[in-house]
Amino acid sequence: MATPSLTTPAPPRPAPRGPAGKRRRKSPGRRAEQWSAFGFAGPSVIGLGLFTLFPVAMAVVMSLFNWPMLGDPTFLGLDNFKYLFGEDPNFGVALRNTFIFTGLYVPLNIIVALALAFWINNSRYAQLWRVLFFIPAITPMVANAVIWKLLLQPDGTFAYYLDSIFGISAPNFLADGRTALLSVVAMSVWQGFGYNLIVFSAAINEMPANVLEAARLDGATGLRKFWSVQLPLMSPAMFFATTMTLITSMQVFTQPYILTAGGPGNATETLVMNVYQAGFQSRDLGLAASGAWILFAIILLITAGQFLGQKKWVHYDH
Amino acid sequence: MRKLKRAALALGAVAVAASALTACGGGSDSAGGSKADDGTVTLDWEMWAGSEDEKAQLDHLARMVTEANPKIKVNLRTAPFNDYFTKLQTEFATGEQACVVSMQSLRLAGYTDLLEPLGEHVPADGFDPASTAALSLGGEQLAMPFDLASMLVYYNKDAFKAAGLDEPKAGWTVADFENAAEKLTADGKSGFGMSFSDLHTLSLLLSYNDAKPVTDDVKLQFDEQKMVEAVAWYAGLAKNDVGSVPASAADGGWGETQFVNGNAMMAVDGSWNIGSNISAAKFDVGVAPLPAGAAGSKTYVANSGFGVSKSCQYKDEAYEAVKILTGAGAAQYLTDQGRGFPARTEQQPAFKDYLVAQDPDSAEAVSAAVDSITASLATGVPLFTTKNWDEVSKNMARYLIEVYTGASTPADALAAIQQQGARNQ
Repeated sequence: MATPSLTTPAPPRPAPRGPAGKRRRKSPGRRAEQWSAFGFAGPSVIGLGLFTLFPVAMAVVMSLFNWPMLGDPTFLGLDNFKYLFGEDPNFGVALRNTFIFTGLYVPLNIIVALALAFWINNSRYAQLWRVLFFIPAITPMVANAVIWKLLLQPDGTFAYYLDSIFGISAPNFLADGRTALLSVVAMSVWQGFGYNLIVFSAAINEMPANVLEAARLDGATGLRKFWSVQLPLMSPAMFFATTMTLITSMQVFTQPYILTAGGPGNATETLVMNVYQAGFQSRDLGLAASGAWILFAIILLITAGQFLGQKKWVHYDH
Repeated sequence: MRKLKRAALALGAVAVAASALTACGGGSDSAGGSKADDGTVTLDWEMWAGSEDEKAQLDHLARMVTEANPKIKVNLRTAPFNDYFTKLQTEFATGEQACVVSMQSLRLAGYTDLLEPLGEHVPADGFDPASTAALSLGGEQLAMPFDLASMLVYYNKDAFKAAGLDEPKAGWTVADFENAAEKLTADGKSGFGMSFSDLHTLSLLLSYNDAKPVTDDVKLQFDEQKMVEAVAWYAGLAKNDVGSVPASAADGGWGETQFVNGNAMMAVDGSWNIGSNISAAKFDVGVAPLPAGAAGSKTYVANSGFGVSKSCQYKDEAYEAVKILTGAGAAQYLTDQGRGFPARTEQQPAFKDYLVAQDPDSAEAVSAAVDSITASLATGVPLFTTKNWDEVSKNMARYLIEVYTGASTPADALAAIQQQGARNQ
């Protein structure tokens, strides 16, 4: 492959675009450029094809089969999807749990991250707080979940303080269907808000001083300033944070897997847990692929909705 | 440009073809072993190992095979126990399985079609009958055992003394057990650490009223009446904190952990933990057979062994390897290493010697504990499981905990386990 290097003469300028350029024969330099472009892009294209596009296409095929981990696949058509939406006692619940988790986790995460970002911004120890709040986000999730399990168990720290300070007998947080999912949400918010806090902190620092000054001269203070000036200025960061947080929350797996194993009953089973169980416990790869495709479709729809909706509230020009 | 397109297409085709090979390939005839020009056969051996010590023990066994048969070499491949069966099923699915495969009795049902029956090829002489029975299914011996485990009640001797209770011994009853559990519950500590793990829970249910979750022809029957009654009794222990309820459905080892921590005064645990429980607990540990219900004391036994995969090309060599790996020499070596209660009867007394040597101060307790194992094995039966047992175990965790907390009834929970498990059994 001809690859331009420092020792070869510089390639001639590309042919001018337009109708006249089209008719012109390609120069050797242009062709060399194409080859080198292909050489540079090739590894990623092949990697993308092998490890992303092919598995994605394969998942579509598998979702139409009864594909046991051990044994031969048989064609089923849409029966896997019918089973998930009809007979599977867990899939509907997992779908509901995932939406409840997302509905609680995303707003809480954004509110906590935003509130702390503003608070930290005025603190003398801003850097220290940022590091402290970011630590859970970079600590392995499994380790965090195990620590939270110890905090939440019947004789754990939370139960002790509830009893000694408020005199309340704590429920068995992770074994009680009413508190299990809320506990998973609480742990996830603690684990996840640090990342958004950094994003919001950066956005707050980037706010143009002249706009804030103008708002101040116009008499905007407190909530009015926050709502009408600062929040719109931060809207690109908000959009990024909500989109990414929403996607990751729809894919929640580790927290319920470690804290509750999906129980009690199926109170904390999420979509990805459902997919994992279908694939690696029931060894039904076709059913797992169907579940994964449904999850993908849901995330795609929600994200598309967010991108369409951003025109109304995200301001990129300041 | 056309050339470029053609090159891109060719590369794309190669990429897709290559990925098709990696994803769908398998069933390679030479899976699991290879033969050198001088006739030496190298067999792959898949086994779980959690530490370098364990790997060193297994390497020793592999060398024993070559010492006995210089023309056979064994290539050990390991994974931690928690990942082992995920790895094994993936290997079988992609045709990468080893010739010699390690198997646990509770997982056997999922591999019946993939393991070669050993009946004519590997003699079963010298093994405890319970150990060979646990690794056979449908009349075929699918793996040869190297260990044997039963379930026992571990109890806190200090707590029994303080409460003025007689210590449990062989022949104690469910009523004795309930009485002790109630009296031992005080000061925020529970009399009994509850569980939802298969062997731990189901063994006690079996001893209570002979309740069996699986029929003799290996079909689930969780919703059977005896099971409902036994689970109702077991869940009743949670009342007034007599039984310590697991903190979540993810706490598979709750009962035994609470016991060793000193938060529960009794727990059901496997005989494989005798040594570690006695040395980890900060109190005197006693061990007794499970309390006897209407039909006497009973327990499930479980164990592990080595089988030969059907796809192996060098089966004769693999049978030879299994003979050595489960032979008297290997059993003696593993027992001396404290690996577990041996499946070979001749080596069983040596296990007691090993435990006593490890902890001379607890010689009496250890000695009595091993006697309890021997006593419990006399009435032990194998727990035959369905091929979707992983799924069933997961559902036991999720639904039984609801019964313990009072959120669900035994009948509803068992019906849910039965209904969800029946689809892929």
